[in-house]
Amino acid sequence: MTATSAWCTSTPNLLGFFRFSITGDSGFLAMFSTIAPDGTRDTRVGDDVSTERCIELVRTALGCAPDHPVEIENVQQWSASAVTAESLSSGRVFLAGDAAHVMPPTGGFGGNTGVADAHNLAWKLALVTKGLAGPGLLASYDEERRPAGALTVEQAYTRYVLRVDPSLPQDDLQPPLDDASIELGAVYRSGAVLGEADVATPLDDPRGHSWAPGTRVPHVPLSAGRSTLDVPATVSRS
Amino acid sequence: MHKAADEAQQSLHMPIAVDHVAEPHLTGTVLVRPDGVIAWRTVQGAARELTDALLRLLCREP
Ligand SMILES: Cc1cc2nc3c(=O)[nH]c(=O)nc-3n(C[C@H](O)[C@H](O)[C@H](O)COP(=O)(O)OP(=O)(O)OC[C@H]3O[C@@H](n4cnc5c(N)ncnc54)[C@H](O)[C@@H]3O)c2cc1C
Repeated sequence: MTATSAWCTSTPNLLGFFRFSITGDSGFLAMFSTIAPDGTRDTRVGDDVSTERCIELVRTALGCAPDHPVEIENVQQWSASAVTAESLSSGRVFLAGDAAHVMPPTGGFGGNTGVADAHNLAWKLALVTKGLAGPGLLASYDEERRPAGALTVEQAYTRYVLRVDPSLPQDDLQPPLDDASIELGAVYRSGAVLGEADVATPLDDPRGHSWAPGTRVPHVPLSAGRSTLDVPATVSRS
Repeated sequence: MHKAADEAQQSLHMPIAVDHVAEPHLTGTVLVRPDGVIAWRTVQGAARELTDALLRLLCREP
């Protein structure tokens, strides 16, 4: 995996963001819209992805000289969608990642949500296939991850409307919630959690210590650079 | 093991890291799933200091 850093670019002519590798020798520009002189935003950037046009967009986004050397290696098209599957499992089939939920990149939640799906599903599959847990445990995957995915889709949509395209419907727009809580603070309610989560909100701030059932073990520094988050995998049944 | 924790674990149908802490000022039991999610606990509404202490004890930290 390559570490990257994001850099938003907003010029009078376009709206988008760069992602550069930490080494700075590669990266990509993701485009949301061009902006006409009268302020009108046009999200149909993909209509013209000729090399000349892409070089022009990169130079504009960088704010560099019109003869600045730019080499286009690859162009990929994407469309902003905000959809969650009606169910994340059917029999032996489980949906994770973008197959389960697609969301606009505003917030940078899409890949992270897919990783959280896999993190939630992997240990359940392992326990069930090894015969260490009953198959009922697998039902908790949909119970836990679908609400979390749906909430994240709504949050990404809110950010897309507010930052990119205010002309989109705003009737049911959810108020923006804290980024860290969206990424790490899902509160699970399922057959794999006993007792009501005594947090009123749909998310639990991971920097806090609610200690409610269905939330993550809080991070508490231990000795030798360890954290309580390192412990569940190593604690054995007493 | 704490009887209630045993029952809780059985009703969850899965093996979970379980530990019980009994100190003069602190007693509690937690079930933590392999993904680090708290599945059950007996410490109710504990203050941050108490839960931090409990976690350290669970992790056998001074
Ligand atoms: C512009 C942009 C910026 C983004 N920025 C971020 C960000 O900053 N942070 C973040 O977390 N997320 C971000 N995302 C979202 C992230 O890229 C996706 O959520 C993530 O890549 C989804 O991963 P996935 O494995 O579920 O699906 P995919 O990455 O779509 O992988 C699915 C794979 O399956 C393959 N496939 C499809 N059909 C078949 C078939 N029939 N047989 C075999 N293989 C098949 C496809 O070729 C593909 O390789 C961004 C998305 C976009 C568009």
